[in-house]
Amino acid sequence: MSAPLLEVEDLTIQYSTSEGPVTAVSNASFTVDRSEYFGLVGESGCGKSTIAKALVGGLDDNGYVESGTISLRGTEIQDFSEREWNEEVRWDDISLIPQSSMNSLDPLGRMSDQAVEIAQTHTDMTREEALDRFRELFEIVGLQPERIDEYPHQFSGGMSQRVIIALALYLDPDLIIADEPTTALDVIMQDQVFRHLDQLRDEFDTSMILITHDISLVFESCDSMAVMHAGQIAETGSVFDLYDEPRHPYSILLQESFPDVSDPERELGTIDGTPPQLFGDVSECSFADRCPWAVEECTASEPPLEPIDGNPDHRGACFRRDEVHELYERDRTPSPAGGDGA
Amino acid sequence: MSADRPVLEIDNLQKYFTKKQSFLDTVLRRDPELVQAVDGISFDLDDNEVVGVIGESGCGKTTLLMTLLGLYEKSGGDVRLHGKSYDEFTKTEQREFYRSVQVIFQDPFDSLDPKKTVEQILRIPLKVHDMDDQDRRIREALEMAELRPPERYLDQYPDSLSGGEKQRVSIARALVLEPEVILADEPVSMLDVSTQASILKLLSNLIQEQDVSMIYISHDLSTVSYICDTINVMYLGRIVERAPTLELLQDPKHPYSQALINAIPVPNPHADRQRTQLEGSTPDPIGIGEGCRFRDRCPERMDVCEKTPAFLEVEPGRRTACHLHYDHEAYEERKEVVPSKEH
Repeated sequence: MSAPLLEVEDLTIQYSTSEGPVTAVSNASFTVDRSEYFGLVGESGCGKSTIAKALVGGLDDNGYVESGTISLRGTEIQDFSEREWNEEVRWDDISLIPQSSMNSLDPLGRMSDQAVEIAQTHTDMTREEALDRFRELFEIVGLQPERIDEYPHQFSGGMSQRVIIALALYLDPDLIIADEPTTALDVIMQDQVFRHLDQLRDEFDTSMILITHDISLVFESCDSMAVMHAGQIAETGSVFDLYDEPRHPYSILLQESFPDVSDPERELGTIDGTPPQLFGDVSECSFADRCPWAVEECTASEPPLEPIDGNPDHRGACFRRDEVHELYERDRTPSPAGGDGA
Repeated sequence: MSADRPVLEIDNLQKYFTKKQSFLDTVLRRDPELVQAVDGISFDLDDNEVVGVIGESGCGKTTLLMTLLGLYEKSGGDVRLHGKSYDEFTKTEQREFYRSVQVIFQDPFDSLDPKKTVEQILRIPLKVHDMDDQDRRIREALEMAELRPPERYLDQYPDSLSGGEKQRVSIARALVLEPEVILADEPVSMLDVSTQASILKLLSNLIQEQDVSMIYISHDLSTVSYICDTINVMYLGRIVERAPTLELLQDPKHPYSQALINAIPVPNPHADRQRTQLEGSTPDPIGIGEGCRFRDRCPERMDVCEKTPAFLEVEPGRRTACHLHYDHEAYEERKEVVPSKEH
């Protein structure tokens, strides 16, 4: 069996601060296969963007991979030097669609010049070949090819996000990491962007990691997913596993609190408390403080990600993963904590 | 004062900006171009009612809010608080207006002074309006915003509070003056989903329990059903549809409302929602003349859409401005025979 496209194993990422090492990601594991769309969901500060940065070797200066591995087609890349990242990974293997496209384009360069520079750094394309390829990509993402010579400010918000997508696809990478690619856009524009992202999967063999706080985007557009809470992966599996049979309290409660416009009368859930800041070695479930079903065990050690119902692809990090569903059903029926809608 | 008069009446409100002219424009004496940010908006706000104004960025909803607050001078139309026009306010009434109309801003991280404690933040409006019994009022406002017990929060600085708690402080700050109208500008859009619902519930309870009404401005249709009684959908400065919230979500009449609702992702992997068929984005409302403003993007466009559609009742309690729902020529003829007052 060949190695998966991307395999993250027991990844721990810390930031050194004056108060000691802050653990942004603790023992995260997941895999992404070829032409798979993988969603990484969680609330602000859960560590999802830190993972995105680590995957392109772009952690902030005080951030470092403390332990664990990131493997691209079986090759460990987490300890690559800046030169190796540039020559071997960025743009042609993994490319990034950042959250704010406006800030990630050079405002003083024509788009075509910025594209040619990328092409000439990473490939031996001629200027003409590079421009042809860029025009082709503009068409794919629904922009007029003759606009490649314009400057970034000439594109509207939705359009500049598509320019970024065109750049991310430019060298035909195997994996695209999209970090909140549509958060700054209105819903109609967001849907237009995802219409193009759908097309990519159909036409090329591209894989994507979609990082977002919006679980509905993941359910609609991804094959598999992971839910993160305060540095830990709570649950991972196919989107159907997590929708039909969520087994981590956080993935259950997160879905309950998510509004659904197609079911506007459903009662919305809330999750009390706020995610903790983790320092140094983590020896607890980061959700324990907010979890209605936490027991002593939950604050004694970090729960490992383990298969659920013997399914190796559906894994949860909860000591009570086999009984959570019953606990949830039990507490939901009489609704003792108010919210009877009167 | 009659009891059934709406708290706030917005009547054909307009706010136009003029575009900055270049030197050449001045030399050639060109007329300045008008930006029709708010172009003839009318609706009433009743006691204990929450009216939503929904639209994408650039539709004019924030301009509407600023004009209602009196921060922008209106270009036309009228706004009346308890039947009294903004234009006729005396100095005292003006002050009273700034007490009885309060605002909750979108970004709790930005709208609280980081150098002041919660108590100081709540005391400022009380001092400005010279109100008595300040300590009691501050405590009550914190209680109402479910920051309990108030003692725990009085001496805290915004930095030490979570996003949800900060937004509760903003809500307490609005409540401390016992307002009659609250203008809420996307009050939950910066919050995580797990706290969103609790803020929505809090606002909705306050409306029911206190004597206060609210205009709720948002781009997000998925949360409006938890707070709004009625929704106005805005596109390029005009209201294109008005309906009770659930009716709008389940059966939108205007093609723009339909597109807006259909584009919202559904949190269910089994759902088979079709991606939007709309192309392009909302244009700027500059120098746009006659006609339906959505016509260039509308999948149902007809010749008659070059004429501005009237905002008419399509079902009891529901209005829309769309030629699909009435016969424009017949309507125009009838209007000439019996001049009727459109609201």
